[in-house]
Amino acid sequence: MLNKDDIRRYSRQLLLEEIDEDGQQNLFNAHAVVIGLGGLGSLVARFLVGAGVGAGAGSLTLVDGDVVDVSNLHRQASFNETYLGDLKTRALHCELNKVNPAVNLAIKSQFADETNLPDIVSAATCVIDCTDSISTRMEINRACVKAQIPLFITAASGLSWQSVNLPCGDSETSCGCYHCLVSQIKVDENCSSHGILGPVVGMAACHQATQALLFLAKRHLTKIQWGEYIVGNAINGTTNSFHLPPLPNCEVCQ
Amino acid sequence: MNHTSDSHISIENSRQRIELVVNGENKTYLSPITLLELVMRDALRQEGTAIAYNQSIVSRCQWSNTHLKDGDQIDIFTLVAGG
Repeated sequence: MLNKDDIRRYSRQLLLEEIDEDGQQNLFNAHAVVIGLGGLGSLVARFLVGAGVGAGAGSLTLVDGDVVDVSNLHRQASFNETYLGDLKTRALHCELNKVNPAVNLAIKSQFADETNLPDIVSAATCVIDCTDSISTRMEINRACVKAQIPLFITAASGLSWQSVNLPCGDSETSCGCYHCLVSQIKVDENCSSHGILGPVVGMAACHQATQALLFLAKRHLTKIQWGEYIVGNAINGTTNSFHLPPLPNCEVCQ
Repeated sequence: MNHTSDSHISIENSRQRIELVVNGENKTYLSPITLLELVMRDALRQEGTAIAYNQSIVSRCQWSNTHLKDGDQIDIFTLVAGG
């Protein structure tokens, strides 16, 4: 049962049938994990905290070992010059507490890798991959497939952004995993080598946060699409969607 | 008379022209042609490239045995990983 303060704070999203009161309770009780607190993660976390994810029995875990650099500020909207040199986890924790102190924030000031990921994802309702490395994304995918945890992946580079929602193992959707997508493709793109425009990574983050919130509110009753790889073009404002089928004999998901 | 050239033209003439929609543009190719041959013919960069065939992503290992037919839709894009 929501109290008066909750109803006032979340009134605009409670009006949506995709959220409503039951969905809001689910958001309160969700355990969401955001890995990578750059242009994607710092904004995704801001929206999740605003929406009340982890403001009840749940929590929101922020994972990154990086520090705030002046070259981050053009796109990482939650940081400012007062945080230069600070751990992103601590800086974001400080900023998000000002937005919604009811959210149970946990921080892990470490880079995700194959040794710590099983622990990081273990109690998650969903994992939100906001990293910028193919190898880390593959390890996150592997950990989530193994633990059967839904995974929301988004990436951005140049003037393009891409995203896919991957279900946990008990989904009826027949789709592949991140390993099925990239295992035979060498991808060397990242922000430092190809550049990125601030609002483009923001568009990607807004999409990712929306998908995660719709899932966390209604869980498997949500109507979001699983296993559809979205390719967004920020120049002409278009998106294309392609089905990601399982790779035969995929060593991770098959 | 150049027999090699003539036989080449004869083979070319016997091949059926098909029209594909590649990244939204209609293009004509000679059939039979696979996804891999299309990539090679158009000298497309393979590093970081993903291909969707009729709106379903095709793994790199399946490019060579994906045979294209008239009207097929091919979308070629570069995977990104930054965040």
